[in-house]
Amino acid sequence: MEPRPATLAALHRDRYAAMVRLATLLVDSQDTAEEVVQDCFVRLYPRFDRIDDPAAYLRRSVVNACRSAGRRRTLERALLRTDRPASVELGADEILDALAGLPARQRAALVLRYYDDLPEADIAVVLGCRPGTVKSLISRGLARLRKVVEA
Amino acid sequence: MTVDDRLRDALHRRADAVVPSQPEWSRVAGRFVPPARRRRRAGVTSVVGAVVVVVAAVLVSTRGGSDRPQEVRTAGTPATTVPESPSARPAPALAPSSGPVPAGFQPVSVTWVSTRQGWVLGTAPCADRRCPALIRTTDGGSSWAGIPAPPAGVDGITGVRFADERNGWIYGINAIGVWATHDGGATWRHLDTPPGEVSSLEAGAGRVWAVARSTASYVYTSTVGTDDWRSAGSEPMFGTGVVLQGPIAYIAGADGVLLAISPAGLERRGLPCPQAGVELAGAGSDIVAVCTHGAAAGSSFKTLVRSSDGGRTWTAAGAPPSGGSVRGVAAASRTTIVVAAVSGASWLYRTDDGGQTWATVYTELGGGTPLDDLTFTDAARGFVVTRGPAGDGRLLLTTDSGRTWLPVTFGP
Repeated sequence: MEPRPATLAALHRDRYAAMVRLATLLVDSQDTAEEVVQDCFVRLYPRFDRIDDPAAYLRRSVVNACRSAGRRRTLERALLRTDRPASVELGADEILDALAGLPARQRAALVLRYYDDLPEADIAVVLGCRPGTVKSLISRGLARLRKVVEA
Repeated sequence: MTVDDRLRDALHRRADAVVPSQPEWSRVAGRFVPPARRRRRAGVTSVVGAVVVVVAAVLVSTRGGSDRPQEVRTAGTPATTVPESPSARPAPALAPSSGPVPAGFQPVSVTWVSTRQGWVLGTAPCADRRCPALIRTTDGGSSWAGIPAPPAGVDGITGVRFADERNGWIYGINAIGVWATHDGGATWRHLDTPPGEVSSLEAGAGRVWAVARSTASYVYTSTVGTDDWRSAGSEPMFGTGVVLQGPIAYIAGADGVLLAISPAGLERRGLPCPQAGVELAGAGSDIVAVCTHGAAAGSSFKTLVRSSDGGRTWTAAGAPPSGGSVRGVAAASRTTIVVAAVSGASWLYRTDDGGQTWATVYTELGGGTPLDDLTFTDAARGFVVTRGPAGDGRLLLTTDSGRTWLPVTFGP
């Protein structure tokens, strides 16, 4: 565990950008990512002094909030009857397009593993599941990506 | 390339392209509504709450960034004063006293936290000697102002790095060690750790990393803002630069080892450079290394190698010109790379095709003037510091991805 930041302002200063980058990989839109991350900091504000590892708590909050935001965006696209792919704002990288089409937990597990370089045990803590489930999420997610990019 | 590698590459490439517009903490914290007020609002709006939630869900995902932070403010009263956290004192004002660039300022090192905000460490005359001097720009180098520098010596002073506008470090060999500021340079403190001589230091992704040498070279790391430095492994290092990519720090170790240090621990990966002459740089989501071998009479054979999987595998990408020993390497993009080399003269070599062809874009016949802190702040703008034998250092700027390099003027 990293040293506990003395204040939430210090955590905001040190981790805001990293959290926005992580969130952008989970929700496609940087605007939505910044909104999600700021909301997470606001929610952490009254709890900060009671949490042992605020950085880990923040990461869990961001990942979970992104999963909710992702569901909202899916619903919004359905309501607006748009057929634009989920990752249209990401550019034309087919593997990111394929990633955006995965179920939210598979996508989060892959991003935490291959972007954040987290071991499976830490991913399990973030996602609130068992390490074996993480292994399965990653394995199934990679299989689906492989099917898309090798098609 | 396997699907794992493609995914890792695509994720880092996408994340690298994100430039967060970090708001001031007070503006984010100002959005916090105390529980009592939140409960009262919930009671009033409970009948229409479900409708509001549905509308908000659509609005939230379509709002732009400009109207985002909302301060808690009631009519006729000033904005709430927001502490750093509910039990903490307000952050000190970030306004180090600034003045003109000192007369006789000679640059030693340069660092940037964005394309607009940067610092140049140098020396300037004070009484009968030279003292450290620090200048700052907030407009990409169009104008500069002097700010306080630590009362260190100048013999061995090596570099300056900032993680953000508040947290910075000045480091060096001999008795310099590391000095840290957490208020934008208004005050500086000498640190006991890392111990010994510090040959390189880099900050990114919320951490700062340093290579320090006592009996051997070791890596130390701390969370930005805490000065809580810990050893990041007892592996001896070559003492070349630290390259950061996301949460991972890469450093060339001994005997063809690339050390990848992350919060998960230290991992040894291969580096196809048989001898100590190696310089690393990030190139998009890739890592590139220039390996030197067969050095003789002011020249050396150089090989550019590239890894797209964090140093697990490497491919040879080309051969920079043989003149000089490699002093540094930096990438403006995945394919545009500049190498600094020094021997009896100093050169900058450039490729824009990933290493297949090279051009000499800068030559200085000054008897081996060092070329330090070669870096790009975006795909077009880059900097390098030259240090002449008489202390006549210059900061060189390129605005065309490294094709041409011209001196920066600090004063009017």
